[in-house]
Amino acid sequence: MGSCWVFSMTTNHKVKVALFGTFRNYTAANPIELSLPDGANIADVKAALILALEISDNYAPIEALVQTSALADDYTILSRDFTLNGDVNLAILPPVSGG
Amino acid sequence: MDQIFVELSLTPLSITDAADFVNGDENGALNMFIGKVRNHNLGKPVLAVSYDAYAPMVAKVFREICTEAIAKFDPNMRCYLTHYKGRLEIGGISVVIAVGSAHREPTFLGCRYIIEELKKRAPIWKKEHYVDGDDEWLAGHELGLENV
Repeated sequence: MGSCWVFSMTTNHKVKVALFGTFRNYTAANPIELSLPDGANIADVKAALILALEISDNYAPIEALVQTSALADDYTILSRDFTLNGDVNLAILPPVSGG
Repeated sequence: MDQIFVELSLTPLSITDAADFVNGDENGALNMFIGKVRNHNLGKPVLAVSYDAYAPMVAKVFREICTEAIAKFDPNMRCYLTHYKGRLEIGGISVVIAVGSAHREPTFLGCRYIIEELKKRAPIWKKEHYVDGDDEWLAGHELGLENV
């Protein structure tokens, strides 16, 4: 009886996420580098970021902080319909406190 | 001459530069807001404050805020907005806003608008260093909810 192999052809992309403010407490690696599949959305990036930060140190749970933070490229907060289609540099921006 | 000057600065902020920028023979009113590091917060003695910032977006947001102030209060108004990045000791100046206009009302309104919007929208973060050796990133305003 022959075997049948199914190969996934999903392409993964490098997502570098720069950390600011309180995120700097969680890891010395900055930016933090993630690998995510083509078509990943904001929720996918945040989920991967939570996982990466949770294993990088023993600080308090990070999920609430990530969920109240914004993902951005150089100049703009990413729109809700963002989908990954290549390597990208992003930033995770926690609640702001300038002035 | 551009009506707007914005900057995220790694060197001490200059009040004189701000006043000079918004001054002009056509302006009968100059107004300024200066933010500085105080020695206490929520009952804890503070030693210093460090400011972190996402520089590319800060410049864009600062210019947007000043453009909005001009549109809202006076099309001929001049606006100057600088914020410090790095560590400041007590008394150090963290933000300088200056507004110049023909009349006083737009300058009061403009200054107030700019600082309030900055605090809500500019990607800048404040870490307080306390006398007891502890330090803490302060809670703040969530940025736009487009992606959450």
